[in-house]
Amino acid sequence: MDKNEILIEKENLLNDLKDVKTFDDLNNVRAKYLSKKSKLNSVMQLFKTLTKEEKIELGKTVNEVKTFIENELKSKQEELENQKMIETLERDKIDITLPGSNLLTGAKNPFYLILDEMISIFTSMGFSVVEGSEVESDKYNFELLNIPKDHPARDMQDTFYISENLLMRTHTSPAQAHELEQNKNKPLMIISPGKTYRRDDDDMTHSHQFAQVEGLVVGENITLGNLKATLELFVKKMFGEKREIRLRSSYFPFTEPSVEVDVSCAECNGKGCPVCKGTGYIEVLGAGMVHPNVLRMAGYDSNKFSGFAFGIGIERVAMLRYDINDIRKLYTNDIRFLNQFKKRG
Amino acid sequence: MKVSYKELNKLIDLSNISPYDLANKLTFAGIEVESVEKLSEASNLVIGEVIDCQNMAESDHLHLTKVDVKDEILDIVCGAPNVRKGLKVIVAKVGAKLKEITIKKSQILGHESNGMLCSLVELGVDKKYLSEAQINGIEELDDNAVVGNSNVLEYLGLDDYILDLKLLANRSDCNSLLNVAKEVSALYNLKFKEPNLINLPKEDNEIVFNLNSKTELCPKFVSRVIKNIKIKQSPKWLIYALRSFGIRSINNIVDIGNYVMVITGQPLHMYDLDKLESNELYCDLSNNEKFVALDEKEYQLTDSDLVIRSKSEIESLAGVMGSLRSSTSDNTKNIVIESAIFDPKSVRLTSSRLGLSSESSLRFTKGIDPTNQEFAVDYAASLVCELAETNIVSKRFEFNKIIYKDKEIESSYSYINNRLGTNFEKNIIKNALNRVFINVKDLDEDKFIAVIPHHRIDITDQADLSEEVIRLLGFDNVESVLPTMRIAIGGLNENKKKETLFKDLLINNGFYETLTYTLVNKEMSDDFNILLKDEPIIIKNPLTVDHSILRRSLIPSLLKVVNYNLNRKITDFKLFEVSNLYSKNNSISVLSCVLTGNNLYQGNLNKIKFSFFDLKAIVETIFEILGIQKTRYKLEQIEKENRDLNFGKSAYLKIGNKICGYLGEIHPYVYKKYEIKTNSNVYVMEINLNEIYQLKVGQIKSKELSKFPDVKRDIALVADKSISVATIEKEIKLSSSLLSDVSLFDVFVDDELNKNNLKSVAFNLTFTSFDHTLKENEINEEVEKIINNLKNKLKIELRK
Repeated sequence: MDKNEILIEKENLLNDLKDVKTFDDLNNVRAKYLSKKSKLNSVMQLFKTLTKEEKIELGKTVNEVKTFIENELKSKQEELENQKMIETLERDKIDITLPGSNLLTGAKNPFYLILDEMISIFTSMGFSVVEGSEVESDKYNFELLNIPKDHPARDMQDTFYISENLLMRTHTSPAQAHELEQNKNKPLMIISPGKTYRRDDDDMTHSHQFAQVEGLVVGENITLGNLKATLELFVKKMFGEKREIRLRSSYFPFTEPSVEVDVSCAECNGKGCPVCKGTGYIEVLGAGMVHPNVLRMAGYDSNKFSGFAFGIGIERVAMLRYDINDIRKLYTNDIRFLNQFKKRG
Repeated sequence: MKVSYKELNKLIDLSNISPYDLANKLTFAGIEVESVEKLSEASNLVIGEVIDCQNMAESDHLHLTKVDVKDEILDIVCGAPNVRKGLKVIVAKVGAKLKEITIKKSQILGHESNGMLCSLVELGVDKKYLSEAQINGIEELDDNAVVGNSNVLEYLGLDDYILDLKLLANRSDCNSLLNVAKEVSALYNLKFKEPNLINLPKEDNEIVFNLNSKTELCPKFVSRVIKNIKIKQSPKWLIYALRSFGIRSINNIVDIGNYVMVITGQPLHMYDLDKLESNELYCDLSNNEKFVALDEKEYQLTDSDLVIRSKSEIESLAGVMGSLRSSTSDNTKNIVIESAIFDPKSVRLTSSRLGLSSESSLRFTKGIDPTNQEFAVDYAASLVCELAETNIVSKRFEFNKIIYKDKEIESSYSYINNRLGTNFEKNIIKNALNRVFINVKDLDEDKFIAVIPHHRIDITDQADLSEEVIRLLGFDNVESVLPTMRIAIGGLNENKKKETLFKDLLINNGFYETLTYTLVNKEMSDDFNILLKDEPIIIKNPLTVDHSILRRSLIPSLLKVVNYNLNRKITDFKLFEVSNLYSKNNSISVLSCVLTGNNLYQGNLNKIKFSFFDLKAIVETIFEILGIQKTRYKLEQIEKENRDLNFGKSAYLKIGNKICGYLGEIHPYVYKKYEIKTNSNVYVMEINLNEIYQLKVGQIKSKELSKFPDVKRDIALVADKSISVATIEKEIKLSSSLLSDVSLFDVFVDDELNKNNLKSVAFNLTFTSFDHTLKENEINEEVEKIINNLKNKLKIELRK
């Protein structure tokens, strides 16, 4: 018996397997090569006629070919099964372009995005957050802030009155008076965010309701330089590391010196463009050294303690940051508008 | 305050300072310049003379003119009705840029035109300064105009820049051009020389006049009488100066009053001496009288209005407006000039009550220099003598209760440096203060006395001195140094932290956080006032009724937002807002939610209408993450009479016996009132956060889990429809100590059950033991116990 005659079965098998498309085809091939009628089997029948050496020699070849055939058949079997699996899955295939199931994420009005960010910046600097009432007395809204009755600055703030002594607070600065009064002669580092009200007609840039974040730092030896550094840090965190600030002399009855803080325009980097009306800077907040009268009225020793205060308009910052051209958009809550603010961080 | 650059230049030399540089400098020093405007932008003008003027045959109003402009003679077509031969005119040559147009060579009905003859309107002058003839025709120049002169704007006083100052309350002193000049000298470190403006003839001591004040609201009153004046048109320089200040010229006397006020900051009033009731003026309070003012209107006065009287007659409303009876007119011959100090508060109250606001009342309201009255009246008298051609002037009559002494403030160089965080040398600080006319007298090495000039009524404290120093030396000199504070933990208080927790939960579950107005109208204020029932707070002086009452619920505001979005075809969404609510005696913080339409699980492919249970889930989840046990709150049916909520699909949230919230579908009436269609499906919820925050919550303590396996059993029951699932569940739990969980998995009613007013409910029961493995018969006994209990107590049967 020629060894090659057995070995050729390998090639024959591979040739036959090429045409196998179904499990039936495969069974036929399996029968052809492994059944009693198979060539391999007929060779085995011849074994008894062979010498011991021949048996060993031929037996090796037969085993090799048999193993080969079994492996090939097995892998073909797997191939066909896999094929069938794919066909099954294919039938259940989905259209991946259908809408995704809703994870139901909403969005904050950008007002709160800014408010949250401001709170986070200041609390990370060590500020505590306190709250005040929107319905306030004349005493805290004006008098204790060095704005006595008939002070000309009262004209700057047209006020919604509830009674002679009760009003809608016109700024968050009453928080200064309240906190100073409660912490006599102690160092303080607080912010107080909240809604404020002025008798303004609503238009693109004015709103009878708006919100501020008030800040107050009081201690021994607090200087204008401290104010500048604190607000510089805030501005860089809020508007970007490249932003610069500049201070302009201004007037608030409860601070002296008083300043307006301008931030270099992000659009043109201070060169001047339509966004900053050619000035290179945008006005973002008012600040100053707490007026000694305010400290004294709250019972502080104004010779020993000094402090600075600032007030930042939340809507104004939101409008600058998000290119919002009309403050009323913040109060309208159009879902299509709110949907633009899903991004976090 | 409008400042004329040209007029300012007369008081201080601005030759090296451009108007724009000046504006910038002032703005940084705290005197904001809102705008710098050129009075006229017109270019390429020349003075010409019309040497020929013919009507154009092809037109009913155009003229063909020949205009001599010295170098050439121009053919110009002109449509003005007043153009005529011999007239001196303003010629805009080809290439000239006017306010709205650029002049080009053109052909008009076949005739060449090489320029345009102009009116002042075309040069950019506001019509309020012009006569009817000046508006309708071209400007007619006087004989002094020189043909060929191309400095036309200068000739017309239009070569000026106007700086519009937005003065803050502290710098009312800059309502005077002289004080602006002083400020400019300080900022640029220029020498300021008080101009010599007074040039009076010899006083006529024969003239007698009585001055007095019967109220301390007028502590000072000075005046002069001037006789034999000629009322006429003001000279051009005065007309032009006033125009630059934004004031229209009337006649020489009125103009002098206005001009002196702008220059000195002291308001004046001119009376016609001959019309006064008697030879006296005195300040007094009115006595509920009627007053006919210069504007010919009658005003009702109170007993707190300051007036100037002569005998008993009111001759003017002090500092606000003159009377019709004694103001100057074209026939006035003799005048009295009033220069006084009136109480700012009194002037403010009167002018705001009567709606009469003037340059004069504005200055009194903001506060004036208490030493300036004599100077102002003398300056005005000088000008009257010069411009009204007289030399009969009285001595200065004075009533004065003010003993003025320069304000002195003690301070120190170290105080100023400490406040600013700077290291300025002594002499630098001293020099800066001197520049703003503050005299410094050293007391020792560090301390000094600062003597404040009378015009700076705003400087009252040594802190003010630090501001003067730094605004002059520049904020760039302040070095940034972060404050060093004792280490303290900042951050949010406990309530705010809780708020952050549930806000994040809501955002992550598809809610939009809204921002709405606190002030609402009456109708909104009366809806959903469930949590705040006492009277609302009402604004005394609202701008509109829509924002006149403090809301007692956020729901009406949110329903407005719902309506807004539904109108824009946005139909499925969830909103929430956290805000404070105020009423007469209370204030609370609330969380309010609104669900509208459907919960969109997968866009519109898979959506389910919002229901009461979506709100219930929110309440339960918020309480769960805040660590509040279910046993501490309950939901209770709402009364049928409620007009805010559909009682069938709503509940109160109660803690103990107190209503702390409500949730459910809005009432059909509310749908209608807020113009929301009923099928829009709107559910609302409002929770009083104060009540939630004050609940004490313990720390988590973990419990040991059982080592033995749980056993599960299902039971299906038939119960009377009126028995709530919660009642059944509670009874089941009470029946067996081995039960660790009871969970509902089915509720249904079929026709048969319905007929008998019954329902079927099925529960999944979990039994747990911590000390042994539960056996079959043990569980059977427990289930038996449960069923018997339900049968006895609630007449509930096992379903067959």
